[in-house]
Amino acid sequence: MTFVEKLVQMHVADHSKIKSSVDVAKRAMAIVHKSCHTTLWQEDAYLDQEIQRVQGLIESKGAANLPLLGVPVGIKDNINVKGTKTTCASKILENYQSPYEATVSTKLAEAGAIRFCKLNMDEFAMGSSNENSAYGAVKNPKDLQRVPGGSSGASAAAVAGGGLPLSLGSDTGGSIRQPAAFTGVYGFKPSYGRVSRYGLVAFASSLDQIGPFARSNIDIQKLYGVLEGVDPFDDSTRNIEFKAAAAKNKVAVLSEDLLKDCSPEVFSAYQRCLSSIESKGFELVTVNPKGIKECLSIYYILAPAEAAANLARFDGVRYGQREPSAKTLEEVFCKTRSKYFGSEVKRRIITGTYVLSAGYQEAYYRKANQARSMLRREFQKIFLECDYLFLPTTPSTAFKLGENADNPLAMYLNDLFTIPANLAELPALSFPVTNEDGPLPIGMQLVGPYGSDQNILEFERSIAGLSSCDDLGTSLAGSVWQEYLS
Amino acid sequence: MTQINLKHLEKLAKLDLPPKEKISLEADLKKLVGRFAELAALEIKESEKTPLSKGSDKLCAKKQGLRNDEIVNQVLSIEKVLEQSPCRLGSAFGVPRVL
Repeated sequence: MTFVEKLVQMHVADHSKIKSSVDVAKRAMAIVHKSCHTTLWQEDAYLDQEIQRVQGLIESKGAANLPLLGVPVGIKDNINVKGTKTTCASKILENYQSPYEATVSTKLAEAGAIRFCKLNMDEFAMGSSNENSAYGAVKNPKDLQRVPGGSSGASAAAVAGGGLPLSLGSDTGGSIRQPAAFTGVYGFKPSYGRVSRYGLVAFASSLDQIGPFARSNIDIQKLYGVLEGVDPFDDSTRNIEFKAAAAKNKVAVLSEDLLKDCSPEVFSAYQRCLSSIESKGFELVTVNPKGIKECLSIYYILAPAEAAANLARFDGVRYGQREPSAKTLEEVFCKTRSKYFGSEVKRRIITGTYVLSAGYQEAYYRKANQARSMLRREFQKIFLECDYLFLPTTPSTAFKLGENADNPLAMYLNDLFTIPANLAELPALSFPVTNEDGPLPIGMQLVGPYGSDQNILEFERSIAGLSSCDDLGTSLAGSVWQEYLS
Repeated sequence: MTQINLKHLEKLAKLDLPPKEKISLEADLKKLVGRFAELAALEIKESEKTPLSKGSDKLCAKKQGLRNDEIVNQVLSIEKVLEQSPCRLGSAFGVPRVL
């Protein structure tokens, strides 16, 4: 039985245990937060309200109809949960209170989950190390000298550190999958449009997607099942029935020259996985999709362009902070934005402004959009021949805190293998695999055709033996839960 | 050599960067833009440029049952309001505009 299954079973049998579980989560998360600096907002009074709300739901809907009954879920701080603070880990939104619920938050509530806390992140989800938070860097629970990845670093650390069974993150260029790989848990980016973005503070609207973290494939599926679906508040959501063709028993793999940036330990883990997949009767087909080498450039044109547009609303007038020393309207905009945005956010706004400037728009923004369309077609061609694409999630294991802080380009390279799925709107699962050459976690990635979200999760289970999430008891705070559940 | 007029970009983005931040940002931006050159070299055939029918813009419009001219009019009216806003980087849909 999985972590979530055990908790739900316990709560169905005895509703009063929900409060005890919340108390255990508080103890476990206090341990994780102390070491890893994961939590931005958590309040006892709010949690008491949550417990009462779930008790009311049991009476109205019946415990058996609540798939996440009493399960505490951590939520990335760029997702609005009414009555909580939503800061996006930025000074510009310090003390900003969510005035409404994100659709995913409503869905969690309806499924009987406890919305437990708001989790740290890179400011406005811009970063690959979770060092860009205005409220302090997050640390990797597997090695406190190292980064947990980003931007959903604390969502990954909360689950990997044994603080919570489930958490939510958002993925624009790998922000769920890269931290999942760095901390040794499962992270899933659904197909674009499968999960509502209503209530998610936008970074790059055409790439952002909310998704789950968990310690097992089954728990990912449970949370994803609650989140997915068409939302009238988000017109980009789609209910496309995925018609799986007969299994081709072929898995696409990238040609070796595309993997030249991989560290030796990631490369050898990848080779072992390929042998294992082959031994289960699958044929490996080497692919080299046109445009994949240029993915990083495409992404770092499109995402900052959209970010510059989306973050224009933070002007000191409508949301959050306003610089008190400003004397004119122009000064309100300029001083507020300059003082309260962090340097990575400013770097991306300026980059976005540059690629959208008259004279450069044709060369950069338009060309990047055309290349993106071409890349989507390339992936469609791959999936005519193969069932899935298999590749490492990251080129290396988690790096040390501060190691890439002065080199944004080196930092951006971390997203090399995760960006293609965002550009092509495809579902992608990162799952932990054994590292035989070192102590740090390694993640591998399965990418599938558009809409094949459930199939990817099932396929990963069918190649069982490949994945290896460590025992809950060996994680930072896992013993607190293990004692409680035994 | 890539020409970047940082002062102009700051003005458009409503940002006033401290000198130290300005120097590092300009250097980083030059490196990044240098990398974009690989994209310029990428050949894209006419047939590969067409957006897919499942593109989100088309889908939104289709869902709402709007005709093309109605969509254009709606966007124009919103753009008109935005033109008067001093902070003009964004549009109502979060879709970037040429500055």
